[in-house]
Amino acid sequence: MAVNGIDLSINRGELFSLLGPNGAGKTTTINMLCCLLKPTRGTASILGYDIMKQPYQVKRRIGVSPQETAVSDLLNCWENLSLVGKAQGMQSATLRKRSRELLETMGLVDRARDQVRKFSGGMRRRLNMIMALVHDPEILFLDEPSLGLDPQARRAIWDYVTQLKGKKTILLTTHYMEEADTLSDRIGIMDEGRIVALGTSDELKRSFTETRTMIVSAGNVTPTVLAGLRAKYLRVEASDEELKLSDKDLDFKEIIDYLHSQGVTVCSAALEQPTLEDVFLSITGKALRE
Amino acid sequence: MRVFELAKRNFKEIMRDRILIAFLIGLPVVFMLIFGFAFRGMDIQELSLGVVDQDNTPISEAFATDCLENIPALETSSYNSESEAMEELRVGDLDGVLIIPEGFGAAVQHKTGINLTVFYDETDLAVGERLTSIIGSAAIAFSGVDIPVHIDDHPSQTEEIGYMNILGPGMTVFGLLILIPTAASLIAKDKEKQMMPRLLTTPLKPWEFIAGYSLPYIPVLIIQIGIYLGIAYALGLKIVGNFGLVLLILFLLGLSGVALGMIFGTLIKRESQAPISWLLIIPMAMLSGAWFSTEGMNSVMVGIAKAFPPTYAIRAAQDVISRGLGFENIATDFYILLGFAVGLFVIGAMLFRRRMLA
Repeated sequence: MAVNGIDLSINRGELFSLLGPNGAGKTTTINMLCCLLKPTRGTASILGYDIMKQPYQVKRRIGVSPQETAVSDLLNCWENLSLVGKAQGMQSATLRKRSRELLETMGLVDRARDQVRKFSGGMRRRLNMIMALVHDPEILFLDEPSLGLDPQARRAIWDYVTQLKGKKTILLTTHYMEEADTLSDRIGIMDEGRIVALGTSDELKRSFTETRTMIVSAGNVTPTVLAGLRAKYLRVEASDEELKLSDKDLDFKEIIDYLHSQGVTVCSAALEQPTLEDVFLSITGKALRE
Repeated sequence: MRVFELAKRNFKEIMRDRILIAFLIGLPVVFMLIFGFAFRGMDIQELSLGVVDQDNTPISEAFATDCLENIPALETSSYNSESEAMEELRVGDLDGVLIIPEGFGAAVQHKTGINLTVFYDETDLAVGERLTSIIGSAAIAFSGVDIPVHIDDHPSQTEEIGYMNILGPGMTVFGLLILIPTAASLIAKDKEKQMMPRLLTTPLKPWEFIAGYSLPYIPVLIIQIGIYLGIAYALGLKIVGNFGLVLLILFLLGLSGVALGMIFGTLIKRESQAPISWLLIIPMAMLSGAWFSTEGMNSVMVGIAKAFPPTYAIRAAQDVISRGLGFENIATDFYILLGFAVGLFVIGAMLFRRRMLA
């Protein structure tokens, strides 16, 4: 079963990310919400419209940027946008104005008359997203919007999504931790068809990572100092001139004071932030990219 | 309207795909040229001959029954009047008509020369040659080898027609069948490249999808018919009957092809699977009589051929093009063809709706 019992509510204007490995059920969830797949059980509503009973009301209010670039290769940008815009019932003048705005914003206006088959992967991705936005939908589904893009093109997509934050309700799926971490208001972590964790990035990191880690770059660390630290903290590793301390509770000031009192020269010290990968690992017992 | 936007887009997709256009237009034209030479003078199996005995003497009767009826290559039947036999020839039920003139018996008895008149169906060029040769030989053998027998042969048509009258309609029908993989690949490509799911997230209604994927083929098939018939005409095609009726017959076949393409496109998952439809196209074309005469084909194959629309299209088109028959003569084939077009479209639409829009 691709999706198995999701109970989820997304607020208007929120950017919600579904994070999970390939096959977790993210795209299936989006496909059901876009009325492309019928759920075998349960229901969902978008802006109060039931996806099963009122699919056309739902479709009029959503824009979808699929995982694979769904563009017509033999058409140019204007023609691709015209197809989707007219299918959404837009008037020609409004459609043209809106298309131009989006093409300018996404840096495609100069190539707008070229057939899409001549475009690079990044340009196709951008057009893919514009096609989801052209009719100015209230709800936006972005399924792996930066999949397979180089860092520069990915950054361009992220910048634009950031601009949309608060203006649209966005459901974004990704298996890039950084994408979910950087863009999202809230994150749902999916695994094997279920949402296994839900909250803001900070909440998830706080809730699901029990140990914290502190890295200290220091000189003059004697065996006595190390023994003192090991007596107090769960795990202490020393290599070259670096100390790595891990425990449930790490008091930054207390550790620095202790090192100073023992004559250790502290060059730098930082508490290592847990990542969403750590969260995923602690919940599922496996890495996100497995 | 939304449906026209989708139809317009699909039309552009077809017209901008150079390989597809070359395939759709070029292949039948190349075939027309190649087969035009390769199959010139192709033989047929058994000839149906109507015999009108105007002499009514025991000798003429003996020639018609004892002599002609025993020739394996002929299937003879007697007619009381020339007009009755000529009507049968006109509608294609006979390959030829032999008129045994008054005085035939006396001429044989007195061993003088006599002229026999043969009318034949010029739709198949091999018929006239074979018929005059067989009857001539039979008459000489019957009357005595040293007695000269002159055959006056007359084609059944008023206009002279060439081999392109066989090949032209056949290749046009074949060309229209290429619409099947074309229509299938357009739908399959949109499924494979996620355009179809994208469009399915818009408020387009089921009928708009079906019309949007079918309408662009109407101008395409009109262009096809125009080009095929135009080239066939340039190569010698003579249309004896109503040209409009020919266009209508071919148009109905084209619609059946689009509908079959829609069915295939709905069933397959990838564009690369569209050529599977050739497994249907080749037998349909071969059994229809589009490429060669199907006379003498075994009954099982005849039964299978009747299940395919090209069989009716090629027969009706040939009747109008080469025999000059009117609607009343081809009405049965026409209505069967219409039934195929409508029926396949309904099946295609239902399948599309069920598979794609469920």
